Amino acid sequence: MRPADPRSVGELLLDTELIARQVLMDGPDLQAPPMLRTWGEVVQAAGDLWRALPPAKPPMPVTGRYSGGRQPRQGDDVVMGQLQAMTTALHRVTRGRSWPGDGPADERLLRMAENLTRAAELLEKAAPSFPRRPDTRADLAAAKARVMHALYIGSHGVAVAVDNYLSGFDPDAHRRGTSALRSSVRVAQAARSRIGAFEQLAGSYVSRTYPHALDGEHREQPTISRLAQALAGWDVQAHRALAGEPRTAILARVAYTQTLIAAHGAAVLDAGARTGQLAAGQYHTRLHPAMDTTGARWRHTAELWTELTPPSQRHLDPALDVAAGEVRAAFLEIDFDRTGAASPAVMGARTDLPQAGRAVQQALSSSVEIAHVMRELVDDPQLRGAARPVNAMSLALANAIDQDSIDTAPKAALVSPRDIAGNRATALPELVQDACRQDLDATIEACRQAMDAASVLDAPTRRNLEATPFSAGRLNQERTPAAMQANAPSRGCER
Amino acid sequence: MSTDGTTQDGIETWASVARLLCRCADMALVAGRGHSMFTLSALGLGADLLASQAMGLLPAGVDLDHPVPVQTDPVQLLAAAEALTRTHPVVQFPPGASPIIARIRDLSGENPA
Repeated sequence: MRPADPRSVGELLLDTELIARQVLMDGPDLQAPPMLRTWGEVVQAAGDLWRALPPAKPPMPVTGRYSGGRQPRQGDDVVMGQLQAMTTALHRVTRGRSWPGDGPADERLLRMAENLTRAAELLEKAAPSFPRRPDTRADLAAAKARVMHALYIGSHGVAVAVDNYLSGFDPDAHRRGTSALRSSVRVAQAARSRIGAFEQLAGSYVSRTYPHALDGEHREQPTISRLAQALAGWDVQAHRALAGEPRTAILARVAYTQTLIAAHGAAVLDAGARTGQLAAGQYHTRLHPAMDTTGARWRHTAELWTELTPPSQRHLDPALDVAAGEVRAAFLEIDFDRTGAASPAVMGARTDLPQAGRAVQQALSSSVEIAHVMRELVDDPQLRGAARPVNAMSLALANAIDQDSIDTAPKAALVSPRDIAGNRATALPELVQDACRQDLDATIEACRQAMDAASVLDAPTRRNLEATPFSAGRLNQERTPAAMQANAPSRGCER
Repeated sequence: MSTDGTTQDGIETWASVARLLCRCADMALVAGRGHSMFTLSALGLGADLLASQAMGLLPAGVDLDHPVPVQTDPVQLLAAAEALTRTHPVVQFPPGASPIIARIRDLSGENPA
């Protein structure tokens, strides 16, 4: 027996849309016959789900003579009805023909249909208790937008598959071909034309609603532990990358991600302080300035290593990309609102800020270690940079020194012209190494100061103090040994 | 034209997209001098990650270092990369381009020009 699907309606719809997107990614590999056999089920399931969704407006009393006691259809329902009618007509065209004929179904379209059917079942069970609130109505509009978008993309996938099939025929050859071949081409052409009309109608709904209707979609609270896990995962992955083959690209990526951690960690801590969930006084006087300095230092370090890394060398191990991307996503889920910073109140509503603050505090501690590892790598003779940017930086540093010097003797080239011509990997000249060492020493110091300042996060907050009953210590009676209390028998009473 | 639909023009355009994303990441760091890196780090790191993934799809021998894009505004560079992804049908880009294009559009949505 299959275990019950634990997903919510929202998760099922999101998965349906993602499957539709995956279908499109296959492009040339899409197979028309299984898709045409299964597409009808997808539209049927979408129609069932649509009917199971609560009406956008409260039901009106039915009084019309010719209404037959039924509710009038609302605008959205009409579109879905048209799409179902088109699909029925398509099914009539393909049914009982040698092409697409009987055969296996398309697995992904089948999963879409199953998801939609399951969502409809869940909605039917919950129907009596649908709340009628503005946020529920907004979520309903978002659900419809998602269903229609999935149908829109899915129908495009079917259209691409039929196009692929048709493009395999030479028009002259097919005219001379067998009647079965001519019939299959005719069916495919008719199916293509109907799917095209379907896509256009679904597209007209999508263009009116997508993606702004998703703004009102119910959003699950971010998992509180996601940020902590992302930061811990990043720490492990950064250390692994730095322990491997030394490359300036890795140093640049690590510094860039640390820049983001410093900037967004500061935003999370700031929100905690502003909402009274973290010790505000100590935060503003000690930790905030230290976070600013750390962020500026990491930015500088990232800029330095990025300069030494031309674009051609920036393709890195996907594991490092994934870890950095997860840190970015985990922070943005908490502190980003569409196109800018979320307000402290919104951040507070999205996550447990003290817990997020503790994750940032741990990241500040590990950033000291990461900066030290980077500093050690500068002395690694295996560390190479691309010849042209290394030469450009060497020249800039040498010129800066020459401005203060009276020595006008010609200087030896710091990077071989042959390496420069081919932009080959070259060892870092001492001058560049010195600049990198100085930069990382300053970054280490800034990280250390931020880590020390982050100890203020362990101080009690205003909320904690309010929540804890006042106590000035034990009462006098509690401190008095039992033997000395007045009502206790005194020494010698046994006599 | 190769058998999977990828064209030479598509590969060259994809290389330009990667170059623009790299430049966007670099310029976000430059723009952050003396400013808050809150928005810029999210934009820059996002572009850097996408550039890395985009480069992974390109065949060996494609010149990614030249020409260097001339724009300096990171948001405009991202918008230019996004616009380039719309100049060819997706099948003409290297296989695997679709999810990266979707993420470039998401990043553009977070950082409207």
